[in-house]
Amino acid sequence: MNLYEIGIDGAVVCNQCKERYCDCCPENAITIGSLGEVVVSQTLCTLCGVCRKACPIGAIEIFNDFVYVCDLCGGRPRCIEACKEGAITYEVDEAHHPSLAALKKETKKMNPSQKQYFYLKKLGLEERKRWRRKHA
Amino acid sequence: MLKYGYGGRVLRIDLTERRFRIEPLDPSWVRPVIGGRAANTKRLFEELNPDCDPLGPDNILIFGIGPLTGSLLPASAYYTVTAKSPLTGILGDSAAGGQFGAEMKLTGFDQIIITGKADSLLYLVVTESGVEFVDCPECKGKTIIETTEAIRKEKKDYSVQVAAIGPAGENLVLFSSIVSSGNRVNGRAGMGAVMGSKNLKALAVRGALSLEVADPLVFLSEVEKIEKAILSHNEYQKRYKMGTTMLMKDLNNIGILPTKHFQEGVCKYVDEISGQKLAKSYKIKNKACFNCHLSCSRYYVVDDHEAEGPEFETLCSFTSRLGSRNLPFALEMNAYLNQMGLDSISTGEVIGWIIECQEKELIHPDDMDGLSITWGETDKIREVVEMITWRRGIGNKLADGAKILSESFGEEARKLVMHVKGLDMICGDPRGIKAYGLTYAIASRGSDHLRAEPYFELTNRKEEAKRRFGTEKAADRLAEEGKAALVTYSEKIALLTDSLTMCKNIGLCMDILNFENTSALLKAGTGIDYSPGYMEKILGDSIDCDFKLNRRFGTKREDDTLPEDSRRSHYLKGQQKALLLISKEW
Repeated sequence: MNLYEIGIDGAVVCNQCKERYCDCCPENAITIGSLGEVVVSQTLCTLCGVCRKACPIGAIEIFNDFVYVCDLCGGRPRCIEACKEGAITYEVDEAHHPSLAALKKETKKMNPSQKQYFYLKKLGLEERKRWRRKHA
Repeated sequence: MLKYGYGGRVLRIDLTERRFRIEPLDPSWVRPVIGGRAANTKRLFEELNPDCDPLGPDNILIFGIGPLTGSLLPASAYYTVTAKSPLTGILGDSAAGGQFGAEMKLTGFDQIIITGKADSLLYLVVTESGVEFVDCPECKGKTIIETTEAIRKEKKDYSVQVAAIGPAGENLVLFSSIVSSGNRVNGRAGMGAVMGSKNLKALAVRGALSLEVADPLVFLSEVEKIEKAILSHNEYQKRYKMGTTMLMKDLNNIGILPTKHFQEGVCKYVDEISGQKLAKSYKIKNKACFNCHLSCSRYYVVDDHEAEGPEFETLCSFTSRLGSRNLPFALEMNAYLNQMGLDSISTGEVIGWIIECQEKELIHPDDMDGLSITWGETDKIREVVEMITWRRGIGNKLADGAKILSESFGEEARKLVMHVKGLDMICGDPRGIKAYGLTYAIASRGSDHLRAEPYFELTNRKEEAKRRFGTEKAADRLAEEGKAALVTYSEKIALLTDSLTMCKNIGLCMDILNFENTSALLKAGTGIDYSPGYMEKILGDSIDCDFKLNRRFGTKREDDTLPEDSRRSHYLKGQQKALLLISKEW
């Protein structure tokens, strides 16, 4: 997703958060794997969309009758290897990361696209402060 | 039925009636043109009344993508906008990257054909199921990013991609541009004015279909080969760091960097305005189009301004071409032009021409509403650009472009306009790059390098030149021998990259695409057989189609030439003269 007005680009992927907001599946189709990744059972899943709604950053998407969420590629995420810019990291930078609990409240009425935008904007504005300091 | 690669549908939108129609894309119609630019030209050739007013409702505005746009093929992000140009009165088209093309692919439309004229300012939202017409009087006068954000907010969807015009397009500045993805510009030939004349502020696309290729395994292996070729290219690091702005120094070193409106080819203060300086002092990070391994674009912060870019043409147009040594000013102008929707080359040309004419006393300030301007006067340049955007004061005349403006002045002044067929010349002095010179002269949309981009002549690969074009001279930029063969070949590859659609910096300048690997890509991607020989033939036919169309618009053989000024050698001075070793007839 591109935030043209502030020059930020980014992809929103599952943070493997401690809070596990998505762990509220009425069909018990969501389990947590050994690496902390979210595993969706496509057999049990009824595409009700509860998990998508629960995620505060819009990291769960349903497209063409399939639930898409990061599964960490079995522990060796390909996206991290592929990114030349070093923009994707395995570890979450806790010091610069906005609180998910606060985000959960703020994004309550939003759709996944709006949540992703909101989340990236928060991250991006932090990033921009660092640019400005560097180029002041 | 086109199942793979292509979306297989064409969308026709009539703005007058506010109606749309979806048609299937005929496989036998599209096979000889592949897609993208070639398909757009064919459509224009078949459906446009050549005598129509470019700014009237009869002009046809086509957004077109190719069979592999938005696929895994690296840099397959481009889309082409085609219409009769209001600036030149002939074929006009312009391609841009970003994310728009890839999103358009997911709507399942290979071409969006827009006709008519809306009664009030509106924008269109195209999804896989059709078109929504949305009135937007509040968008009047808004910049590109403001418009984009307004539409994305309104649709509550931030994956919507928007191609919009700025105030310049609304005011029908003849060289205004369409800008998508915030900073990706369909700059040349005044496509923004065509869109503005239709009262169309923006075209937004959002698709939910998927793109399937015929043979995923073969396609993947072909794509991997291309990825490898890009990543191991000897110019990769340089392009990654500076993008096209690397050309500032490269062109200066060989004496073809337009300085003071083509009067000189060597800029003494190039270090102050070079790509290296930009990368070192102002660049924050890299930016990329959809699925690109090169990510050659830059994001910069300078004082209160920040934006993406600039590319070489903008950088040169607002530094050396106007005799300015102020890099921050060029960066500021880049942001302004992109947001207002003005073509930087034509804007630079019209201002540069006035400065040169005033310096030579061919134009008196009184004829210019009191405007007196000289090299590097950044404050005045800024003011003039603003006047052009809003067609205020003398800006109203300047907004018609250098060629039309020059018609009310004397012959001496007219000769100084650097244009071919009405389109202003890009930043690259043809006196020192002969194949480029030939390209400018014959290019179907006017003085332009992108019709062939014979970058090969700058790479000094003598053996390869002998193998491909029969003479080592083809790799010698100052020789004339072998250049026709080089340009003919490059023209076809250029059209091929435009038709797939792919970025020309990668496909052509980095010499990644050829008939063989494209044939394999197309076969695996679309399931349609394209032998290298057949491809060469249809590309030749498509180039002929460009010319036939231009003949209908009234161009003549004599128009395929360079501006007189650029053919004269007595303008060459000092270092540039030494660098160019001019041949006798020049």
